[in-house]
Amino acid sequence: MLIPRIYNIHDQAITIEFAAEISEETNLHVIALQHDLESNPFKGFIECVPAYGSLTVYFSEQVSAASVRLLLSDLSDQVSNTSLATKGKQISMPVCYDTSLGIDLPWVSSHLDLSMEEIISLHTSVVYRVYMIGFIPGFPYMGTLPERLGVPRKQTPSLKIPMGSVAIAGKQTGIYPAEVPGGWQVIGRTPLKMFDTTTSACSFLNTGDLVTFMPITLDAFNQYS
Amino acid sequence: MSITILKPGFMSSVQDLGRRGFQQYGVPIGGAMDKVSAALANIICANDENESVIEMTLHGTSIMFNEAVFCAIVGGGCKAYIDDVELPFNRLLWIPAFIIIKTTASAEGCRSYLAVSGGFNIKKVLGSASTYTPSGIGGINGRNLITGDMLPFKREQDLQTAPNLHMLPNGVGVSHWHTADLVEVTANVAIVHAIKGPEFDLFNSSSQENIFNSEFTISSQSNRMGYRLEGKKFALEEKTEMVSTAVTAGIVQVTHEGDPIILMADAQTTGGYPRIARICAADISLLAQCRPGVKIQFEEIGEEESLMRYNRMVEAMKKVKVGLGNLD
Repeated sequence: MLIPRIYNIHDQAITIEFAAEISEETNLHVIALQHDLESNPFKGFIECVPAYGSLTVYFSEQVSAASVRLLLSDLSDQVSNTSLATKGKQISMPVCYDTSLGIDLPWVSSHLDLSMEEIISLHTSVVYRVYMIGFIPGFPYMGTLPERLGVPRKQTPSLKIPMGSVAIAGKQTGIYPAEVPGGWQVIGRTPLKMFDTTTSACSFLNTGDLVTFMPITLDAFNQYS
Repeated sequence: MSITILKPGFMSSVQDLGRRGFQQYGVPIGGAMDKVSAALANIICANDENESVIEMTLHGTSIMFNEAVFCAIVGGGCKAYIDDVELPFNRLLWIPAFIIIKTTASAEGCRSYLAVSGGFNIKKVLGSASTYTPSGIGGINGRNLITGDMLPFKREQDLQTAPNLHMLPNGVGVSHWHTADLVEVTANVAIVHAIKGPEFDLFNSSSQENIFNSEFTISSQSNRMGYRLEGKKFALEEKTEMVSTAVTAGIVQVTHEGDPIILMADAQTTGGYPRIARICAADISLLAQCRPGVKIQFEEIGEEESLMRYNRMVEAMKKVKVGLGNLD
């Protein structure tokens, strides 16, 4: 592993960046370091934000930025193997790919010159890793999409993408937890609630979770709600 | 035991010092834009700094006090009146029942904070009362305040402990003491201390020069998530796709079109735009008091000085607290 880059993004937040790339190995390292910090928090520790190849640590004035930098640099050298072996949840998510919900499916189909059935079978053929949660509460960035499903983002983002929309862009797939503007291509919708403040974790998915998609019919989708 | 919003003005919402511990699930810190003034309003009321307050953006707010209450207003962007009597900021106020406070325009500042003694009784969501409208959480039903909203107090006001107040003819009491203004409010050019951002070196040389040597105007397309700046455009030396990583309030990111955006309280937790600079944490409250149209200039400082300025702010807050504690 490369020597990580450590820098402040705020007077009370420091990022340790292992690599500016999307790789499972780097992401595992990020999660392992997060577990180490959370299970043995230093004085003044507030929270961690894992991303693809970096971990950002927020802390209070009870601790100096210099000592947090030192600690991160030391810890990253000796991320424990037990943490590295920590696996996320394995989740099978129901998705309805009906074109009334997966509104961009016809466009993706003609753009890739694949039938809609082929797209659905490709999208459900692999296990996706949740690399990080970001953009809006509960939005999972998942990869890696089968190469043949690579599509660009929309030229002009849609003003309203419905809640639960399952979308693809580049090498990634994600799920919109709320109705928001967005630029990814929507190919289906899950009836599951991705962000719910009445549950203890609030986000249905967490960094490190492993996700597969299970196609369901429109009838089955409607029965969920 | 409540107040009623008669008019929300430009925008009013319930905020506290933010939501901590849920950023890994994409939940922003949020909270008061000017956290120093929000905390100060609470300190004046002898509340915990993190009690919920009403953040009033600019002016036009009108609030009915249904019960007598001790309260305080801190910040900028408006003047507060009861009929034609102006209420002082940064002082403890005693407001009798059935009185209406209205805010009108002022030349400077952008946000003011109303705290009541004991705090408002607002249900916390994920540990905070702060309103975050994109997810519809916190405050009153996860939205900004509207006409008719009633905000109950946490407890009855203890009149026995009323400090020695100067009574105005309309029955309003005002403390003799006031706290220092910890947040500078300017109507012209705000000097904002900034440090080179994580991607500073990736920008071309004119961008690197312009960030610290030119003036920017806060665009009208600014909100609680971020301030868009008008002025010189920025560009990377070479086009590179970034991988998303954590961002927070104070980060100055540059969009693909070359426009800088300063992330503010409701900043999303992660982002993928190059970050040319970051604002010294001690100056974020100052920025929160800058309204659209105000010019800002970045003055470059190093990591050490930024930290020093931040610690100075923390010390100043402590001093105010200790000072008020000794008043009885």
